[in-house]
Amino acid sequence: MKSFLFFLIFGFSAQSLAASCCGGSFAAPALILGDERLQLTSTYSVGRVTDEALASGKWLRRDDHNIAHTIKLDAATLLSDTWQTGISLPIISKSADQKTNQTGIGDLTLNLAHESFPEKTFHAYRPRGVSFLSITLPTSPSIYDDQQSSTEIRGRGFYSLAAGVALLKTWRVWDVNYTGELHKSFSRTIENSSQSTEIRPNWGTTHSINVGWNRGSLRLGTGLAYLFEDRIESRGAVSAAGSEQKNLTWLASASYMFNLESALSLTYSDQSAFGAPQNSSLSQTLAISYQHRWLR
Amino acid sequence: MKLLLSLFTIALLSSCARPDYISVDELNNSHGNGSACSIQFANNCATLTWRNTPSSSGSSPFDLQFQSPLTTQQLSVVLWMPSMGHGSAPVTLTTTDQQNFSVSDVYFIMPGDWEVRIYLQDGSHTEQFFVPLMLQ
Repeated sequence: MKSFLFFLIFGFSAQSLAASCCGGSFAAPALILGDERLQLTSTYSVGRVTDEALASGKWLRRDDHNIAHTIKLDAATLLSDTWQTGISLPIISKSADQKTNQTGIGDLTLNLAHESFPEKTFHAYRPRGVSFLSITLPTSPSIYDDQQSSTEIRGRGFYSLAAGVALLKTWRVWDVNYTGELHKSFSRTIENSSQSTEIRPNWGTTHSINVGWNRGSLRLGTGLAYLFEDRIESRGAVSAAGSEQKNLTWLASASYMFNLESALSLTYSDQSAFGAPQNSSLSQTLAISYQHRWLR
Repeated sequence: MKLLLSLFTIALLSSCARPDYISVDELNNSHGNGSACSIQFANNCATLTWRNTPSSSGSSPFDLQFQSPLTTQQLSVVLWMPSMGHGSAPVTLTTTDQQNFSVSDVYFIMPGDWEVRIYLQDGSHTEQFFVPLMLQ
């Protein structure tokens, strides 16, 4: 039972599937998956862009010490027995060689979730989980604003709407969870030399699967997260077809549960270890999370 | 569970990244720097000369020398990253003789494949020429 509760706390550790140059493409929503009524998570992470995967598939080595420090605050609360809402707010500080350090909020994500897959009776394979809708607001500077440095960029620059599911299953000391979502970002118009260009993003999707091994208050886990963003077209004063973006993030985590209400987790993630990334900035990130829950 | 874990491990190991790094020489040879009249328009041509090696760190000013005179209002220059669908802050154009233009405030905000897009307006007709760049 303890390992199950532990998994509920950290099986779905907060993660952001980011192209670090440009802010997170999609942030995992703040979700309650156990028997709590309120859940707060704070995450501090340090990420360094190590490589640039070009649209051609070629890689560029990054040696400009492009580093992002992020404090992410996630809160989720029940609205009723089956409905819940959550918010994610990142605060990002970015630095790089020969560039000014910049700090500010990132893109804000709000979500609404429903316990669509309850576990009312024991089943050997059927998972429990929630379905969710989330909206990301472009509350921070993006590559579509007139920036002079990549350190000023903290967001994607689009309103995005996502729908997905988060599922989990435990077997004795093992746990497995899956989060998948499909999102649509909406067009916007920017000005270039006093002329308008319409930027048309398309669909994107993320899928992550994580496996954990639990012993007492300790959980060790690993996982993979796949991100795909369809091409972003530009039409008007500047025209370009754009290119697809994709990458695969590998993560390893160790977590410790102090009691049923609180736990600490350390996570390392690497976007340059696996897959065939394309059109993405690739980062290595170390994150530490503290989560507190208030039970029903 | 063991089966699932084995499948996960196999999937993980078989998907190891195989980086194909592009060399610095390839980058430097792709600029077309200083080639006379390499930028062709219907009734004009231009030579682009970088003042320093362009990079994603700081400003990368350059000069455009046109064969025939034109006004600043006829010329516009846009920095664009075609693969990612975004540009950069507007550049600043200055000229003293309507043939030699200085382009400053040139910020390529990240490494990768960029284009310097040069637009020339002649009445209601606009011509364009894209200079591709690969920046580290």
